[in-house]
Amino acid sequence: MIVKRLELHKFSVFEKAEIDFSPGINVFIGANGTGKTHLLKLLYCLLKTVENAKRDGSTDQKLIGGMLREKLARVFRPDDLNTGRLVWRVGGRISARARVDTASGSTAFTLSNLGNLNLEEACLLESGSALFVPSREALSIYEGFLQAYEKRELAFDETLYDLCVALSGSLLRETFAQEVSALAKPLEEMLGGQIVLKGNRFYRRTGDGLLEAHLLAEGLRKVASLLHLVQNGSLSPGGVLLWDEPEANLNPKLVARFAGLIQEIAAQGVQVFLATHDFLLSQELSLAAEYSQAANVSMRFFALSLTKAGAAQVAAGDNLVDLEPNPILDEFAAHYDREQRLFAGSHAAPRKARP
Amino acid sequence: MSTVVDEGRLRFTFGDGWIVEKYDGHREYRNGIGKLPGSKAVDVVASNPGQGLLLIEVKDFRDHRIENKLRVGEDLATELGQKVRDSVAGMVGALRNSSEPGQWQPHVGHLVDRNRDVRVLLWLEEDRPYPSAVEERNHKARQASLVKEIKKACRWLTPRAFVVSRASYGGLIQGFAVASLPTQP
Repeated sequence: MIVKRLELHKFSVFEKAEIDFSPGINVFIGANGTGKTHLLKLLYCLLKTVENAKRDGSTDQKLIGGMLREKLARVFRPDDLNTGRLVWRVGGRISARARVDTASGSTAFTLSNLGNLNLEEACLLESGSALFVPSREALSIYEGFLQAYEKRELAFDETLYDLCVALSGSLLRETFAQEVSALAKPLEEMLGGQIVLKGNRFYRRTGDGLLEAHLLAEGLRKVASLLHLVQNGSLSPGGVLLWDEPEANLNPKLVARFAGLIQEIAAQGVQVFLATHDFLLSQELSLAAEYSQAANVSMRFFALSLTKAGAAQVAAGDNLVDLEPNPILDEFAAHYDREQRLFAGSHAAPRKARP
Repeated sequence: MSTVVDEGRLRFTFGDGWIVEKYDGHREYRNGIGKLPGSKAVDVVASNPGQGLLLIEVKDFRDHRIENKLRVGEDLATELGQKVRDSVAGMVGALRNSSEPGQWQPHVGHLVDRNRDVRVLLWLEEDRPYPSAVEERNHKARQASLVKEIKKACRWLTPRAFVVSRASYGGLIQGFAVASLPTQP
């Protein structure tokens, strides 16, 4: 599956947006509240619903529309699971519309602000699966989370639940495992071992024995999750990885390696969508795009910002330098100005002598 | 009365109250620590009773961008740290041995009193036009990352180290201005 284009009309903070994606890596930057995560979540809902319908053999448009409405409600978690709240709020009776084009076809819906969803078309020819990795890592909460989520209404959105369901899948048999070994290799190298599920708990296995996932650095737990997802077939070539803030809880040394890892994942045929606040991660990826280090991985960068009227706008470029408006560089320049003011006026506040 | 220092194609003007030496060309630098092989020096030292000591190094890459491009970064920061180190040592030596110690006293006075300010300023000009606000913003963002490097190199003396160019200098240091001189034929 390759996602080619997304069109949005009055959905969430987007009044109107038409976004053409790269088949390789797509990087979204923007301040909080500009719609990065919402974009990723919407793509996920569309792709996952179609994937689930195909798995269940559902072809009934109404039924699939219901599945999509349910998915939107559980992934976005609006108040009272009212999907009408996802429609751009300008007053009056309006409808949102979204349409995703993949290499095999299109899926599109309209959604009224009363919460009525009408599925206009659904492309059930997709192969490959979509995986959403939220900013919070899942490995350490895995034990007991599925049961707790299913029994009660936990205040987590469904992306974390779906990730835990994907983590629960059994490992691929050896013949299939060989097919994904190229994808697993860079993850194994970064993790420095293998990931194993014993009972309901994850462990990293190295030559020194087993280490509980809880005791791994949080950044490495994300790597461990991805490795397990590759080894159980949840993430494979032809799939789509939607990753929200991969840099969360990652030290700067790992961030640079993450940039390399993301390129290796994309080089194995996984289409990647990233939402990030991280200057270093976005710069590292942009450098690779500028200097064509990974010539076989194409990249596209998207800057999200809000207009004065509060509508999100999307600018696109092949690297970060091309991108305007660019909130990450804006903030660095603003930081520079603040520091210059402090530097120029620092004599005014002499430090106290040591006691 | 203002003091003017020309450094390559840049003219620095210091207003009232600043005591300024063009340090790397100073006789007492050349006859002092400068005789020790490998010694380095910052371009300008300037003191002001209210503002402390300012050590200024000027790098004007406007005509030599290609060969110097690779130096922008860690190498440049290390070289700056070494220049600051040798200049501090050189001024202390000059104060001890000079026939006119009074000219070094104000500078060294700031250095040895932790209640007074010591700042290091790298004046870095690159051969880039900044015709738009976006270009200028990108330039500042690049300089911001270089600031981190030079802070590391100068941290042994002071955490106050900064990088500016004509495009990014906001004229915020009181009594300190810069202008570009015409290219020599």
